[in-house]
Amino acid sequence: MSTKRYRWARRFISSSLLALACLAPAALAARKKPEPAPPPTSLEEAELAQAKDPGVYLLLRPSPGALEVRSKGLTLETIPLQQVAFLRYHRLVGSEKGHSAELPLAFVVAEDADGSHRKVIAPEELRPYPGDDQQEEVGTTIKVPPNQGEPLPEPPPNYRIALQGGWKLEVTQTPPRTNWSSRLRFALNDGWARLKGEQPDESDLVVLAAEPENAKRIHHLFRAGMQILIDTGSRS
Amino acid sequence: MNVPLETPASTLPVEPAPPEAEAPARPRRLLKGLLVLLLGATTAVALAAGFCLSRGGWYLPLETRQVAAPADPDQDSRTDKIEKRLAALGPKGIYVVVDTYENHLRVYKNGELLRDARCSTGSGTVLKDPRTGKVWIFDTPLGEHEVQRKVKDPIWSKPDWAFIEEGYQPPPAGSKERFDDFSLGAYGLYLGDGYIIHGTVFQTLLGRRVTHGCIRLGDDDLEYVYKTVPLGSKVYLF
Repeated sequence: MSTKRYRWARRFISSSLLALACLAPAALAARKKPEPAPPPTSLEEAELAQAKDPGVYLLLRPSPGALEVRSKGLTLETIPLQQVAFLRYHRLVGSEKGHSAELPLAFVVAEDADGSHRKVIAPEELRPYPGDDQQEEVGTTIKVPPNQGEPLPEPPPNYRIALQGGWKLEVTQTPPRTNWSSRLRFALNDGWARLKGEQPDESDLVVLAAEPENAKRIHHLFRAGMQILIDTGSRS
Repeated sequence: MNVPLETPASTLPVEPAPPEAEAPARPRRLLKGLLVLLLGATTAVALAAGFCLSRGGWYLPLETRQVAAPADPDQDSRTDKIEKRLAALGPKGIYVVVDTYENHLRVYKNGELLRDARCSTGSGTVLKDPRTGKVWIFDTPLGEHEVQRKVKDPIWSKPDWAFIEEGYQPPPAGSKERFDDFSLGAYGLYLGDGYIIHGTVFQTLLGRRVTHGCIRLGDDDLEYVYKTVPLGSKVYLF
């Protein structure tokens, strides 16, 4: 009787051990999740990480004033800029935003630039396809989209694009003036707007001053998720 | 004889005081009033400005200093390695670059420009199916692509949007109305996801953003690209 009981116990233990032996490697493998890659510490590392993706990214060079359009490390186009400035918003009285005083290696575009300029075409109703043997109706008033030949509205020469991390990219034709009198005038207008109950934009800004044609060209490029690498002089 | 040198004042005829002596009192009062008013106004403006400034803020230039990496003695060799790896990712031999803003297609061989052709690219318009609410965005996709297939006399299998755009209900899949052996021109270079470099019957629209996402070329340029660009070549769209 006791032998039977032990046999049952032996079977239970051996089958448990067998199951454990089978499952253990899988469980261990599951526990060993691939560690996330450490954040890039140099522009080259950031670009290499980005260039593995087939998409287009931008490289901003503030000192010569240029925006390079790149993919896979290949420069596809260089857009000249008149000036590049990084501006931080400061409240004159009160608490500061808890931003780092340093620039990130890369910004990420948070929204499409041309979303507001897309034109939606949609026939109000559809009619059955006539087929080859049927004669096409004449005189029916179907809204056929004017997709052939009618260009979309021109993108604006001055605009702002939201970037991730509370920054905005402003493309403008006039380089930003940060002298004392301009700042004072801005602060007065800002405070007056707040007194009137408005909420002026206080995002930190990456300002690109560009010719109108170049501003439109830059506008055409932006897509949500696109990376803008910043080269502050470490590379030539 | 003593002659008095001076005539006593009392003996002189008294002349009435000139009227100007009393007159300055009025302008002075006026001036004082104006000054008080000006002071008051200045104080009020200063207070209002101060109040505005206490609520407002301004922009200050940020030093272009990036997040500092810890000092690494091997940084230079690491940078060289990374740049070599980056260069290895780029194209070799013949490749194509399409500028979707200027609408130019350029063929390069090892960085040397072989051909610059005018093309048409995606219009960026949005088509909405009124029945299903499905939406198509006619954009040329940016980034790196590859010539996956090259076809002479390509036949276009028309998708639903081609009918909806014209105001027709799409015919069933596989029906003969779906096939068009005319619109794509003499050659087609397929880039995947339905995007093709092909010819066009709308030659006058070359150089404009009017397509549904494909890249249209003129007849001569299309023939050149078909004959020059081999299968597997990289195509960069920006």
